[in-house]
Amino acid sequence: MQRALVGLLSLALAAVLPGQPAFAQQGTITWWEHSNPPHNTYSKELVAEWNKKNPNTQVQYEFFAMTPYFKKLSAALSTRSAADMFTVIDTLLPSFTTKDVLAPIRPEWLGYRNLEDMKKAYLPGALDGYIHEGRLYAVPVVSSTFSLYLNRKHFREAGLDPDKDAPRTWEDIGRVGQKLVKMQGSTMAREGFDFAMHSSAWTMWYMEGLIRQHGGSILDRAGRKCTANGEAGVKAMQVRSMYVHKYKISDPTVSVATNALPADDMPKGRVSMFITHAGSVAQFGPKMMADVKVVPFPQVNPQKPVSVVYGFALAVNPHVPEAKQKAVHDLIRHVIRDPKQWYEKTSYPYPSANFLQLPGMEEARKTRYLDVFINDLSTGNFVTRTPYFIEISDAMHRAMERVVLRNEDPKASLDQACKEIDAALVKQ
Amino acid sequence: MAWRRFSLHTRLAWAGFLFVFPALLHLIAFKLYPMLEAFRLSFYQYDLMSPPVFHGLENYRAVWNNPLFHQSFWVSFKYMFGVSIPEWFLALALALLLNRHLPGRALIRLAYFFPIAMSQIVVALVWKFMYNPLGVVNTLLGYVGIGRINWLTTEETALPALILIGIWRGIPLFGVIYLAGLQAIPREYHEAARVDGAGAWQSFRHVTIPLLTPTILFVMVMSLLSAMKVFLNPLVMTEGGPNGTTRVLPYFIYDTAFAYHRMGEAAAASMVLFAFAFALTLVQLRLLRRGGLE
Repeated sequence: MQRALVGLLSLALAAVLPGQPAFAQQGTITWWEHSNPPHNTYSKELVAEWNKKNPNTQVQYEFFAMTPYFKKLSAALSTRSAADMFTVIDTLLPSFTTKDVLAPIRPEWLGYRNLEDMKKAYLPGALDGYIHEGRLYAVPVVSSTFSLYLNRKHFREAGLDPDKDAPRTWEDIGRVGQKLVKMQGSTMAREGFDFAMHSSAWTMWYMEGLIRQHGGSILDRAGRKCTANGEAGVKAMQVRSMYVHKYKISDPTVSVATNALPADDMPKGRVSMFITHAGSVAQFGPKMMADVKVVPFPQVNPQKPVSVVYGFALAVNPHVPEAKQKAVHDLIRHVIRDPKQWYEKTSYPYPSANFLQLPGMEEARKTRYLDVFINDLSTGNFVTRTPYFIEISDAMHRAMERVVLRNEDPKASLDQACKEIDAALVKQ
Repeated sequence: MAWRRFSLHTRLAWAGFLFVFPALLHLIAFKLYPMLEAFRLSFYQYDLMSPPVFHGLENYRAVWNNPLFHQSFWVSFKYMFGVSIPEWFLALALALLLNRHLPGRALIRLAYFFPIAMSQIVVALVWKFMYNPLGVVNTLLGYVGIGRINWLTTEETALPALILIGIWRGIPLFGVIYLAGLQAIPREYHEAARVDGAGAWQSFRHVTIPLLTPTILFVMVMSLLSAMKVFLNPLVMTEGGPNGTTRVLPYFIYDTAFAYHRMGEAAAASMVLFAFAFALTLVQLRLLRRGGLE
């Protein structure tokens, strides 16, 4: 009787447990991406083109809000249920590559002789964020940094000249912002300037840029100890909070921004100056951009500009058979084949070596602020490389919230953040 | 033929087993196994991607020493009781109201049931828009002279804003459960009390409440347990912020596991949550029995 029961249970379990993961389906390639409206629209167009040309290898495309997407991706990679191809952010590469959950990219399958040959086709350093121990793990599609967007209309209303009065330093922003801010009684009806508050990744990008401008870093050289509570970090945090507490041109509790559209306060006219990426040009649209001017990322010392670079790249699931990995490489070639169209649809500069020489780019440099973005990219470096990036950025975000929302002392708040970061790093 | 060798009793037992077998299989595969696996993982260092390494009680120590765990625990505690206590009374009041002969009673019941029928993600998104500084809640408050409140981005108001949604969503569900309990009380008991000279309050106190006790107990346990597990609203509406004031324990567990890739610590925190829920349920049962409510 007992034997019969065990046999019955085993049979039932064998029937219900999946024999093969879903991605083993023949004839389809799945592709996951983070949410970014113009970018997603273009990806859908590329998928439609591919599906038309390749009726036997159809691509199924899905996108997800950015923060939950990367958590979903981590969980899916661990359970071998991730898509065949997926977009990764450069900051997550260290935690993925050290755990062998990405397939190495084969330059020869993308039409290059080897990695060195592929590097020549990209801007210097553009692939660096995706190389681990001499192997490339993702192909960049977005290489981005932050620049300062100004609302020309607001400037003119305030008696300012958006060309002459455009801020170059953080202090400039405070002074100019005081003329732009609009109050209705005790309520801030329009902010002079604001930083995005919606995610720890954005906080980390801003903070790392600010700390580097002050000559410091988030972690020590070995990446084993938090140094964000040093003099540079404290000064950076003071800059981060001075628009709320000193200049009173920013209300961090008011925003209509979302994860998908973090800069949405700008086109809604709720803020006059905002720091965001090149992709916002496409998100705002030409009508809004007619009222916008983009200037370089503000600096502590404009003579020695420093900024941060980040990027999104296409990676391959290592758990799919080699034949399918080759098909995914073909899909990558299809996605990145036209840097000019990529730029026109998404407004993100594509980091190919010949990008600025492509036809039409001369015009974009004058009319779509491409020169500004390229300039900020040229002064930037990738943010701290660590497998603990999310934990570090969450700790920095909490430190920022304590200072900005509670007016806590920057040094004390950063000491607390470093305590949390060191506790995470010690688990290495 | 071989089947006939067994007695009728054995055959009936097997037939009964086969009927419950699919449910049993579901229970084992999707409830019991994950729980046991979580318990096992709580003793391992596991980053989701590399093989797990035995870690003894280290995860429990790490969780205990993590100030974010303590903060999240208190946020969950405040949320649980902030939601549950009003629910117990307001849901009972709603049930008593709906148990009367009101014109359009069926329609009113249906209207009250709507929040439960709506998808939770839709509820979270709709409330997020309503709580926007320029949203409908502030607009309505503006009509009565109350200035703009930044509900989800201010530390003082973010958790109360989520608690309000929890109460709004929970009242109809528990109201319906109370209503079923009220309708199961034989009308004769109330008539007998009336004949004995009992007023409305005395009838409620000495007839309704004692007979409703099993339902009250069920509502108290269920409301606390469901409030303890809240996750989606903080995830969609505040991402645990500002400054961790809405990071409930399930959200802490989610972040520890899937953002920080520390599955062992997340499993240990889950075990603490489970132990707390279990202890709380036992205490409730004990208190209610001692109070003679059973």
